[in-house]
Amino acid sequence: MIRVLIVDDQALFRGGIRMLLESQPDMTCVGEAADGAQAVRLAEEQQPDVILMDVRMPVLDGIAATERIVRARPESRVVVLTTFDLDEAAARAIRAGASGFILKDAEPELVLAAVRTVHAGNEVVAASATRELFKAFGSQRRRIPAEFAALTEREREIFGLAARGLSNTEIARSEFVSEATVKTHVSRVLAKLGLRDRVQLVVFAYEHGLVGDQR
Amino acid sequence: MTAAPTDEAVPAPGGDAADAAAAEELRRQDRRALRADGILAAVTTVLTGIPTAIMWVLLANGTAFHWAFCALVAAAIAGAVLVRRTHPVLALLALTGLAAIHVAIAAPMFPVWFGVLVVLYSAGRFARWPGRLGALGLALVASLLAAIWLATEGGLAVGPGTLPTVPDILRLVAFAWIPPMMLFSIAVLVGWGVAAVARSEAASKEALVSTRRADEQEERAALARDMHDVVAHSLAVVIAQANGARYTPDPEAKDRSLEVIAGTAKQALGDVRLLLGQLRHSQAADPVASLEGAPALIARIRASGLDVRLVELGAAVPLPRTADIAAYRILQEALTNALRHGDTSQPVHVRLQREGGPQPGIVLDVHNRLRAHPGVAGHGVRGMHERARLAGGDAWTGVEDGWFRVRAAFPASAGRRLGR
Repeated sequence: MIRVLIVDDQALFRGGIRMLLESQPDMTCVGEAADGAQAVRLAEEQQPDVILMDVRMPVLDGIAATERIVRARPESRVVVLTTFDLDEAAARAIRAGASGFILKDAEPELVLAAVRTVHAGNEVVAASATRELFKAFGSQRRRIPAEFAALTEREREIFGLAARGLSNTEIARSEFVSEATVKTHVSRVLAKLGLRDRVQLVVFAYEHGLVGDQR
Repeated sequence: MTAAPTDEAVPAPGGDAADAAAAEELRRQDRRALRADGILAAVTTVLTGIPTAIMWVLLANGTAFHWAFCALVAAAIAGAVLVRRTHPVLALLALTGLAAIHVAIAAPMFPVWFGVLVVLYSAGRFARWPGRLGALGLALVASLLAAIWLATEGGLAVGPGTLPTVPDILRLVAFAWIPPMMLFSIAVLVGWGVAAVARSEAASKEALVSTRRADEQEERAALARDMHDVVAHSLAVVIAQANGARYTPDPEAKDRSLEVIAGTAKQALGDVRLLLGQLRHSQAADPVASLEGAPALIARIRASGLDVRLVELGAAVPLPRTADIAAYRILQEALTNALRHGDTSQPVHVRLQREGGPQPGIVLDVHNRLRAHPGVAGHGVRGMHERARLAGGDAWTGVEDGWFRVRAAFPASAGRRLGR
């Protein structure tokens, strides 16, 4: 059962998303918050797996709330809800620790898939959209940190594939290894680079110019 | 901040309309100038005609040729006055030429110098650089020639045949050359100075116009943002509810969703209509325009050095989204105006009163101390009135005992609220 917290300042929007989530056998909505401060409180009380987070809210905005929730409980996964394709706030939320973003008007199948994906943690939500987002709002820091040099040849290959948004299954298929091996490599790469999840890996790669194929 | 604001809705003039208005203003100024010059020409003709007639009577020694020449000069002066704005150099050359001939043939037409002064001034006022420098040079040379003529023909200084001594020359320079030269040069320089003042006034007027235009652009951007706020929020609800209804197994929940969708769409349409009518207001970039953001807004204004004191009274009342946006924007405009035009050494008082009871609503009251010399009236004041009216409320702005006061009232939303 994936425990989801819905954060948005519009009660009727939350209601709609709640209906959608509750219709799924593997999901349950553990609460609704109308602003960032409520979200931080509820996240602490309910320990949700996934938080669907609006950005623009009174009292405390979604970016600050994401930061606090992720700091207090690193295993929480935040998905940011945005109105625009290229929303700078979404980029900031991802830097603050969100695991991905989806549009508020996304197809319901996509919303559900995003919740499952970030919960499973082996894939990036909307990888190409995330790259576009950081192309628009990311700052290109060309200096590659020393940690990157600590990666082995094999880990660098896996890094390159994961940075393009490929899932573990896809990487396993193209590299002729088992998914479990890929998973081990990815978690080692994340640990060495000090990144919390795959979307952070995508952002890291983009911002340091480590993705050869941007498309 | 002191101009009396009107409360009719005035559509924001676009760039073209503003240009047309400016052109119309120019034409009006041209007509006024032409009228003034007509009067000046008539006065000049009279002023030159009367002494001429008097001399005719008193002296009666002029030949017919002389008198015909005098009539020509009088007409030329009037003509030069009429064209002095459009052709200052031509007017100057014509009149000084005539004046030179007049001196050379010794016609009894001394008032011609009055006309010469006018065209010298006009050259300084309306001509370009070469015309002005030429006028100054002319003043120098003409007065020198006049002095020499006076010295030799008029016999002012020395008798014929003898060489002038140094004191003679100095006397000539001091009494025959410098005074007319000063008079002529000053006429040119005064015109020049007046031209400089007029130019700087025109420049500041232009700056004012471009500021106003920038404000209008900003208003449009703000309107677009508000429009997006209303539309995006409502549509997000509609989409979420529709998707939820598609997935939920509960038939009652489906019905409720449909009701919510219809209601949300209806309210959004109403809000959009209100916003579309709203074309004059201004604001700074702000993610959320809502009274909930008032404390943050006040904190920002405080950070820029204005002491703002907020008093909130009463319990929260539900406001329609449009009224909430309008109240916030009015507060923002009032505080910005206080910062720009008010006395920033004095505190600004903001009172936000929420009223329950039979007629629930909110009253926003901002007053700030006026500066001793209030600047240009903020057109945002008119925007406040329109904003308030279009959002179903009312606004009042004015000066009370040296305080500028903005008061706006909005009724609470009637019945069930949908959307935000």
